[in-house]
Amino acid sequence: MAKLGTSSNDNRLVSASGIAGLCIVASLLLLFILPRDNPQIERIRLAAFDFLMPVIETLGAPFIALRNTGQSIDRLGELNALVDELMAENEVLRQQIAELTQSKVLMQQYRALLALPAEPQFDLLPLRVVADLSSPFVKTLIANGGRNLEIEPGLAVMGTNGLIGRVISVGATSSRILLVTDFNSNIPVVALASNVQAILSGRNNQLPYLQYVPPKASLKTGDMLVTSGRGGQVPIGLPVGTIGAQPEENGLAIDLLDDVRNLTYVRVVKMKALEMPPQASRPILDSLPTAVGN
Amino acid sequence: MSGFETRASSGGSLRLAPLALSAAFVLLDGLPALTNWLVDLEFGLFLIPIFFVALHADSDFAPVWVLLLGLLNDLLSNAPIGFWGILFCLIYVLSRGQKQGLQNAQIGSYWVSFIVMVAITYLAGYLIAAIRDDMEISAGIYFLSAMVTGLCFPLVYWPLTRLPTDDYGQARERG
Repeated sequence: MAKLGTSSNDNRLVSASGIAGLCIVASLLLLFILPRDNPQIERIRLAAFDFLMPVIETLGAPFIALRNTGQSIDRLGELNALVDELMAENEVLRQQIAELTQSKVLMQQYRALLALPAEPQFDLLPLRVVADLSSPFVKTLIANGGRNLEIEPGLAVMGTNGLIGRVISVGATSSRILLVTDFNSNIPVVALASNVQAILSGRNNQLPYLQYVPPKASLKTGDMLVTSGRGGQVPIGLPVGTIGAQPEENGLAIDLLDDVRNLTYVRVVKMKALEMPPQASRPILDSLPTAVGN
Repeated sequence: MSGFETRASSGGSLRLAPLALSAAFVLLDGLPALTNWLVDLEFGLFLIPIFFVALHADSDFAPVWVLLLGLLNDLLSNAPIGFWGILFCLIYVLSRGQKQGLQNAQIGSYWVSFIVMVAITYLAGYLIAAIRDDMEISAGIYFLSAMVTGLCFPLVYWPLTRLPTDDYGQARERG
């Protein structure tokens, strides 16, 4: 009787090439039927990562150690220059802290005067990058924290200096970070100097670019960009990068503050829930004059 | 038969070892890169053991394992499910087609053949990405990755040809 996939060559229904052909058809069906952001698939992906993370971490340990050693050796030669640079930067930062403290007091007073709602505060939660899935068609990282650290999809992620992406899915002990350089990443930003709003979009190469810039916007090379907070996904005011020197066909290229190709640690921006104003007690409410009758 | 091929041609640990090696490359693919210029490259080292399986350690269930490896790579690399599944099976089918032609061949012929197979496979990947609106490929880096994969061929392929062949041969005799 003819069988599928027997080792006998004489009497079989489908050859290995035939089975491979069937596998290609099955893959094609999967590719074009399953949507990429299917939540079930995302759950399977993260379950696979949760399961394989110890293996990946073990395999990755020597690579990470090697990379860190290489970076340390690179830096040794620049150590003196780096110390000088840091000392100069420290002086500037001290001065800026004094200015910021003054601005903060002023800002609180203005907020009180204008009765503006308070912006939500946030904590930075450091995570280690365990897998870098960057390839020509996707730019994501896997970090070693998930639901166990109360990380949620949508949270912004920073590198050492600025925004590098957002959490797109969360497993039990791992989370996937979509980098700002990914084709599917779009983040609302604002230029500090000119207050021009735009969208920072990735295109699967090293530099993201600005989309939807108003036609008469005056943006200059080196202008600082921060998140605008539009849409509520990412907090307002996170530093992102500066406008690059080279004009691009699709828009302005942005120099990010961090090198997203070389991240060992990232910081998840966990928003703190806004504190509700204290409820006024009944006697106080009763004592207030009402609009009608008093 | 050439010395290059003899030890590997009859099977041995051939069924398991190349597939395990391919799985290891799939896992290693997600590791942080040692240098910045490697980050964007999409090495296809996992394709080399599949090429080997198709030529030397074939079985009727090999395509199923190849498909499963492709789907594992899809899961771990955040590619759309089926993308690498297709490419893994494609290189397997293409390589099987070369089986007759590569009998008694020297390593240079295998190498050239693999480079052609990889080029076709990466081109297929590029075309699939081009017709999907959720995938954007930097063509230069992508085809550079194919070239580097082709150049790495002997480093992975040659050790595979040194695999011991006894256990599978004996099992086959017993069966």
